[in-house]
Amino acid sequence: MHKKRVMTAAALLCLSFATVAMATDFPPASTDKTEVEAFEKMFGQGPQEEDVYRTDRLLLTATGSLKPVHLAPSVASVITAEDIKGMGATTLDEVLESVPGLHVEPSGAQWFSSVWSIRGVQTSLNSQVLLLINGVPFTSNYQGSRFINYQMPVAMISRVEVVRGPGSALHGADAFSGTVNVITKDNFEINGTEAGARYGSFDTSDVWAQHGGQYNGFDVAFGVERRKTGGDMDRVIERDYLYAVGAGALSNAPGHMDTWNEQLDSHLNLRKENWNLHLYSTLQDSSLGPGGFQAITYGNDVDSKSLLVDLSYHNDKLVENWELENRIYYSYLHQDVFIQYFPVGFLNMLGNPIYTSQDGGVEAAGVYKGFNNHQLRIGAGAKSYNLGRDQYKNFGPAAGANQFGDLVQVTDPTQIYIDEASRTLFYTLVQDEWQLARAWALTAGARYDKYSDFGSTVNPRVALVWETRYDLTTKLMYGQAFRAPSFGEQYVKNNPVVIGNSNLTPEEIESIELAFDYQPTKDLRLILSLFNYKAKDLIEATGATLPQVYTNYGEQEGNGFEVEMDWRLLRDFRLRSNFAYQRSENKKLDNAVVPDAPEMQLYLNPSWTFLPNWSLDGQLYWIGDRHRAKGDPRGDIADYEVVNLTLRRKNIANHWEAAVSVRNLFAEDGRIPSPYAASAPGGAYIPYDYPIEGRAIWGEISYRF
Amino acid sequence: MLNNRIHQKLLFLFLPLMALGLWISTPVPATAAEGSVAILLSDSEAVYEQQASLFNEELGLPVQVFNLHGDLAHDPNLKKKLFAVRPSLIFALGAKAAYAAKLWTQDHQDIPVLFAMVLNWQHYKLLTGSSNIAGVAAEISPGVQFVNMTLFLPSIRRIGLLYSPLSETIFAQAREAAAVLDLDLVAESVDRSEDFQRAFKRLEGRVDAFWLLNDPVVYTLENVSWLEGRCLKEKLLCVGQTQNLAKMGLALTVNPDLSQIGGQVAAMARNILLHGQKPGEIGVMEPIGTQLLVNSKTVERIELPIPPQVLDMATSISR
Repeated sequence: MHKKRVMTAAALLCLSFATVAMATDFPPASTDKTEVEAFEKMFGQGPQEEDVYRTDRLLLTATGSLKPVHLAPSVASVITAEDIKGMGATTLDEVLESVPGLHVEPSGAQWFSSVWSIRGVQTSLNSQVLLLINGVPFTSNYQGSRFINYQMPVAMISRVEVVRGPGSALHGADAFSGTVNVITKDNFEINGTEAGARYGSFDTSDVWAQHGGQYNGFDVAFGVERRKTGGDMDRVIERDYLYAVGAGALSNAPGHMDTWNEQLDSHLNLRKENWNLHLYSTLQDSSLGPGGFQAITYGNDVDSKSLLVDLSYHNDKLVENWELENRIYYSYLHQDVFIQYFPVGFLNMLGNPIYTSQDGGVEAAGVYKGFNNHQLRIGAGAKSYNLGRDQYKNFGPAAGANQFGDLVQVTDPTQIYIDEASRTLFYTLVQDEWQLARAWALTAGARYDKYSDFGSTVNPRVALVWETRYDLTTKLMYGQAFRAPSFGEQYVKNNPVVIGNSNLTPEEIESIELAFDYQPTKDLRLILSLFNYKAKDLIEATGATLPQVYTNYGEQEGNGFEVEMDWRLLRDFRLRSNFAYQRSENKKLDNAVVPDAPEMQLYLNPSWTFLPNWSLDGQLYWIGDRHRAKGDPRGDIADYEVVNLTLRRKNIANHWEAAVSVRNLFAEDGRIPSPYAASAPGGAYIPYDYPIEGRAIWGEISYRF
Repeated sequence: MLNNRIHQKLLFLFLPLMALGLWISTPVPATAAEGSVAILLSDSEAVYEQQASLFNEELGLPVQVFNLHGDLAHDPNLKKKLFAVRPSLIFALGAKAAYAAKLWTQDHQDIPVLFAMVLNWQHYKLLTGSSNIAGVAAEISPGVQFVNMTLFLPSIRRIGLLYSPLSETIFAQAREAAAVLDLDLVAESVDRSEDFQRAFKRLEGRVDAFWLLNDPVVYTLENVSWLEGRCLKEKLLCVGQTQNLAKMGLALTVNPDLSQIGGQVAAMARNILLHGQKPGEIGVMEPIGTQLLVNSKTVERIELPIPPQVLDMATSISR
């Protein structure tokens, strides 16, 4: 019976093919050569008419000049202020979690500072991702990355550009696994005055005000935002360090992690003619999550102050065919960290390391557009890094007879936790964007960096972009990047947890990427990115016992892919999603899989405008396949998924806007991996990992004057 | 275990969604049918598909849709497939489709061709040597655009524009219209997209408004983005000819009402097919509907003194 059906189906199939063949055999003939030549002559040169109908987001971070994302010589995401509102994100961390191949996770070893893990490159200090604010690096030279527990509220963010893959050819050190460029709002975007407030679970509150206008010929934009949260008290740690040393009775565990934090961010932008001044300052205060010694304590405090100023001059009229860009910038970061290592009943061990990171730089660049089909960028710059420090503590030789009593200032340079340090950098770069043919563009560039303490390095990048068809772009990219060790990684000493290593060498990475950007219809966009990288000399604190030592432990190789989809299924319904896979192994550790970084991530973001001015946004994150460090006896880290919902009503009485959002709707008990400790029973001082934040709800209201 | 099942479900949900997206984007091949009207698309562009759908609704006759996918060489058998349906008329959407239809009907002048959504249609010399072609222009004529611009901002006397060799015909028409309306047309020629910014700067202080042509040399995403910022900075009224420009931030567009073009071509097709009208008698018509799209946010930013009655007349968007 079955056979009979198959044969009938086959016969019908043959018949239908034959019918189609007969039907299509009708004259006239196929397109002839003359017609193709005439068509080519008309359309084979120059831009295409459909470009007029096409829209795309523009990206600055890849080449230094604005370029549509589908043509940019990199794999990148652009998230706008509108997207941020839609997803209900209140911090930069929450924004970045939506980027394909990027996972945000607090670092257990670094006091719950956020790690932006890109394509499996994940270390506790997370110095491999460069954060730029309006194109200027915002990096602590002590940490080599954002300062401890840095958070950025989002009210003043205009857009966030994220470039995955090496970017040292343009941005220099630290643009290693990726670059995050936060562009803040200007006066045109704010255009008036807006104020808002948000309140929600865990005693979280947020108030902001911003104003944009023109005064005496100056374009002025100003924004201030105060955000604070008491932290989720239900993030309970069952066992901690004290259990590992047999003093569980004196432990605060089971007890909640201390995760409160507060930020006061201010932005100012002044623009007049060719001059542009940005000022970003932040005052932040936070706790230390699982504590300085993986022991739950409640008296910790990280007091942070920072200032980032940059003044740029842009002139595209001064010299024919030249666009000149000059910039001078200065960053100041000061952190005063009070650490109570253990519960007082166990040991009153207190530390108060203080550091001041000051960097200043000047750069000049020019873009020459006089050559046919070429856009040549040349630039040079110099930067100075300076680290100052101070310390108070009540233990060790510096405390003398006052062991575990009051804090004592450490004045003996041999006893302090780090020496003052400085370095200088000179660099020069060249980049050419060459339109090889109508549909082919080659971007090639290299940057030469010379450090006063590390010698020199050259990092090239080449990208071939082929507009394969009107709706398809193919990109092939190769790049190298490096990262110089931070002062902390080199010089920390007299520290009970981790000490530096002056013999460290810079980290290096080499990557190759292939990407396809396919937009078959105006309403559907699909992007596939494939990558392979080799990184060497990755720096991490290693060692079976405390204090650990920073070493060039890693020779890591990884590959994987990311698939993105942006589909407007209906006029009022849009689905954005991505899936990322990566597999990274440490070649120095018998090809051990890189721990903690998720091998798979899925993101779904349906967005429904169900009535005019009403929108409902859903987000689903699935974090899967996270492995333990080699030797860690604990099983793989459990997968988890988080669902968020945000309901927003715009344009209430022409001035008001309101939103309500539920985060972690199903109160998923996801886990953040705690660091492996070989000497701890069960593989870690906090063996059951750290719980993610539980269900939270907030409401928001804003008013536009 | 439960978690694993959920994860598998999520993956199975995601992958079919991707597949569904791809499937929907893949055009359905046409099947043979005698005497159909053939619609030929330049590419899978929403503005073409929208017009095809409006045309189909208004025409009330069987149609077959074919897609050039941006290149005549994409499917060498497309011509054969199209002629296999014995088309009584070809409706071409986009310049490439119109040009392909012209080439394919050189020896079949009995098959009428109608075109629409062809930017700068004069550039393609579609009517030269072909008596079977007619269409609807994709732009409002320069004269009508200038009238609308001066209605919007009565103080306009000098209009700036950049043009390339691709838009010389429309430039010549604009010059004539400006002379009739006693307006000064301040024009600069550009040969490459990269020259746009430099040429625009030469207009600075010499114009009261800038008019952006639908010329692919002039109109690139980079140039439009740059222009948007520049117009804000110089508080200059910048005017485009397609709807999406107002959405991207230009203060004003004077564009055809796209909801009427498909219907307009369908009426022409009925006259040809049912009443024996010759395409050569029709020529290229103006779009029957004109739409003024105002970006109220931009207008506010550049502090334009727009009379409220004019704003009432326009369709306003704010973003």
